[in-house]
Amino acid sequence: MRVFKQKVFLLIFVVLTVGNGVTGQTVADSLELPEVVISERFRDREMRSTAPRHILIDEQIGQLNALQLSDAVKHFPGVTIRDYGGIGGLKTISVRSLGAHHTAVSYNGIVLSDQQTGQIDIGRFSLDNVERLTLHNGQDDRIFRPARTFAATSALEITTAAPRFADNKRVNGKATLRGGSFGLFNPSLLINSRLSEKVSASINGEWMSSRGDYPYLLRYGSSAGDSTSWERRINGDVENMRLESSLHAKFSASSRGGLRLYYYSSERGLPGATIYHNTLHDAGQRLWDRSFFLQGHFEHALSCKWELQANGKFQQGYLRYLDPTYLGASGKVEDIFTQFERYGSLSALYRAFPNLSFSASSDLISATMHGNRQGFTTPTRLTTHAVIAAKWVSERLLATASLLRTQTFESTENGVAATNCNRLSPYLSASFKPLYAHELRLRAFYKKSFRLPTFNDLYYPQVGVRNLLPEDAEQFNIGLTFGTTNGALLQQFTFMADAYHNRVDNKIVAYPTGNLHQWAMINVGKVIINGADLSMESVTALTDRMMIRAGVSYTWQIASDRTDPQQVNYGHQLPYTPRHSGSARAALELKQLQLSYTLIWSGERYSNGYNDAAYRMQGYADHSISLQRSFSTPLGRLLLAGEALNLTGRNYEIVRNYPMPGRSYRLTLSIHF
Amino acid sequence: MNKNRLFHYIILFAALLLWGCSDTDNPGGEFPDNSKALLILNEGSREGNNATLARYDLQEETIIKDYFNLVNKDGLGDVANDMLQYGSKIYIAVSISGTLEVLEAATGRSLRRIEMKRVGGQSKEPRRLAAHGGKVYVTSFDDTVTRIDTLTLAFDGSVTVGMDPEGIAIKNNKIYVTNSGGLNWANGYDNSLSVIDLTSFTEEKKIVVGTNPGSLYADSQGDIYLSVTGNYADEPGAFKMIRSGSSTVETIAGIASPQKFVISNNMAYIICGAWEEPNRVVVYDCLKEEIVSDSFISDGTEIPIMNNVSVDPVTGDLFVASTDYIHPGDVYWFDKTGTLKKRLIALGINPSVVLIQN
Repeated sequence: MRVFKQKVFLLIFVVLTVGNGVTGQTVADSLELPEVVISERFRDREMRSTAPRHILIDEQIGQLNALQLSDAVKHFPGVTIRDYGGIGGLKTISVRSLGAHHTAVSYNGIVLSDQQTGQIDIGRFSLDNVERLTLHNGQDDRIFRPARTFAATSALEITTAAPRFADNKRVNGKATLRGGSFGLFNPSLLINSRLSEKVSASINGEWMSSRGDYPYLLRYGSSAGDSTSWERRINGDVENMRLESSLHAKFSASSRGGLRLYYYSSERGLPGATIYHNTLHDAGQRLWDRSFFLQGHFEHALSCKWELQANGKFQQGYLRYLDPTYLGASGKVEDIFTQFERYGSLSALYRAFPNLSFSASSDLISATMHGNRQGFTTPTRLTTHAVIAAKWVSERLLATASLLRTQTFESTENGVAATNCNRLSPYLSASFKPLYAHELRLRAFYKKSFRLPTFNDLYYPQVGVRNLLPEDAEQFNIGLTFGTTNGALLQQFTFMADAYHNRVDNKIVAYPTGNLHQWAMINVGKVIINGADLSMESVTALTDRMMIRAGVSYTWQIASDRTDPQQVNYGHQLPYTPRHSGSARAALELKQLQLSYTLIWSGERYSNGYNDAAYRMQGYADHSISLQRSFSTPLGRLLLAGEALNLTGRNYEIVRNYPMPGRSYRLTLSIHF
Repeated sequence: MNKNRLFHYIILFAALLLWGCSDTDNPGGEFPDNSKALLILNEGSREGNNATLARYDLQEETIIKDYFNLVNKDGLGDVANDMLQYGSKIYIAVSISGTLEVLEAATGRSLRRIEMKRVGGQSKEPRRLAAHGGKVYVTSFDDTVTRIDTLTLAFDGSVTVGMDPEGIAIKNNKIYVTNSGGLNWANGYDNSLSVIDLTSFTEEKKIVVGTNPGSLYADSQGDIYLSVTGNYADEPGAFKMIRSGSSTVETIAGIASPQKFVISNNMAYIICGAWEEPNRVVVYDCLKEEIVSDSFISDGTEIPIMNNVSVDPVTGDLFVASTDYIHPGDVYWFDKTGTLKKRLIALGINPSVVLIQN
């Protein structure tokens, strides 16, 4: 127990002094009591937040039976992951039915972008060195951050662990070897080194490969008695490599900075949908992608009132798609796209009064895309974001307001450029603690935001339309948070409940304009979403040596299409949007042993916007368990974990005709040295 | 302790709530008898496995949306492009599944699933069907026409034609096939019509007919009619004909942007419609060689996108299948004067061919 406390204090120390990425030390942070345990500190952030914020920290992530980022994110309330199954299958995140395009994904403080598709495949990120995952509905209460992070409708933040050194060690790290069903092979290595008193460095490499040839039961109909056959997923193999290195510097008490280099390379088969009577349908399609970025962060406190920060990034992406079985005269389809992005941001924080602070931030993004097709437009988009924000913090009231202005300047090398955009996005939020004696807070936020048309929306041959407007989203949320502890048995109990009303207007959809060969993107869709998210967390200390950590979340949502009363699907639930969904997790922590159970659950959904029985998809429940044991060895702390996933073995489908793997197993051995 | 226990009950209760299981949908119902009915093919969407055969009972006025599944406890497959009745059997070309499904017309029972696969195991992507002399002929996007024997229900030879053959018609002891080149749109469509000798089953010649030819039918005199779709850009579509015994292609004036059509009793019913314009059905008299009507529908019914058109040869009633390519579409049933008799709603994805079963 004493060691545990020491470790906790060390962690707090590191978090408070070194910080991570763009975690600006704002007034709210300084009001938080430093002597709480680290997980409580993050729970406290969830509790005080004016907009729903959900955090999973590394020790919780380790109990989620999760390999990829998407596995962990499924535990957040309000989130719908569209998962095409297997390690290589596309996984996108939609928050509160607003669509994947509206969710920003950031990596250590800087937003990842894909201007071509506008959505990030979150299956590409492993949880290997992830320290914290945060989901923000609306936006973060911290106002000292890049303007771009104010733009998205909701945001998923990935924060990796910064180097920390105990005692006088100069080098530490972690080596992991993981293997599992269907040929999973996943070694990784992390080395942290203290270069000087002020500078530390970290390198991290990971390999992940899998045959992905899991068996599945193909059902030729949804009724009992319909024929079935056992098949094996073909062409589901994946080979991923990630290399990362970072420098972390604390120049003085008032300034610090960091640099990060990231390289990811992947080759995978695209197994496609399971086709009746034709299992070889997509046996040949392949996808290669490589991404590289270099990002830097610097922040400096000029005085106790003024702070500045600068962020920059250069990002490059390469994507190659090949279908060698295409029946056209060329015998194949091959597409190669490359994207470049340069990004710079400057932010200032001014603590005008003890309770009131202001910030201003300005970002510039330049993005270009190239394609191998003849006459490719080669578009470039210059985007500027400028934001001013204010924040009031007292023990009982936390309120923020911001106004973001976004402008785009579009140009192309070939053909007409798209229409420029110039928009304002306001945001207001507050949380109030009505009773002194109880940790009960009421909260509300309003956000008006939009997502820009993607390069595909604007320029895709024959389909893209140049004069598309941005897709608008409006969010209203009210909620309450409650936290308590009795100091002994119930160490921590938190509860959050939020109700929301969202509207999407000018939704960008592909629309047939005359016949099957003539589709175009148009701003036609309208969606109204009403929903509620509930979540609970608890930490119970049964004895000195036995703890139970548990969490439950539940989401109810009605996301109805309000595009056109003449359409057959008017008023129907959006496809792939369950009315009821949820997750649960529980972990029993003994001294060196951990037993954990997780559940991902979804009610029925429809695969078509017309909610007919023919398109109904059964709900599913994915139960997984794991057992972990740690050993102290002369080399360091050794961790052995075994996981059994999707225990019922059902090949449920999240996306129709894309079965998920049945029961599978993983074994992980890692050593912290 | 009590507080703690209470909390655990809450968690347990919540977990139980989350557990809830939904029962499987079981569309029960007895098998239909041999009464009069409409059989409607719904193409389905690519990678959707949702091609269906719907059956509308004309006496009971009831619809079974997935008749094939109900009878056979099986899925029809992925993208059913065409359906043809020949004798007592119905043939359905299922493109992405790579199958030719043969049904007993009276019962809907599957008699044989003929594989339409390439050497590597991928689909040949069968498209359209025609029948003659105890054989069924299938155009496929692997640039072939396949012959199927209707007695043995087995492969009976194939002939290579142009790029991505689409429409097929048999007349004058010849098989006519339009080569669309649809899969080669990025580098240029095909523009030819293949003429295949029925007896020797070899390609005799190719006639240049225009960019991206599609549907194809013959009238009783042996004249061949076809829609040329164009390239959706600078080359517009046209409705064309080749007179019996001739190789000269003539353009029929006054029929802009033709798409699919059928010929029944020497009347051509042609779906026409340009970009963002509601479709209409133009009626052309193949014997008098004149346009009978610019818009068959006379009661003001508007159908934005027509996916196919079928005719009852006995009554002259017209069935127009509508779609938006995303949600299930409808079949509009018009009498011969163009007045709406009935609208069958949300039958399936991309409704297409309608067969009348008496």
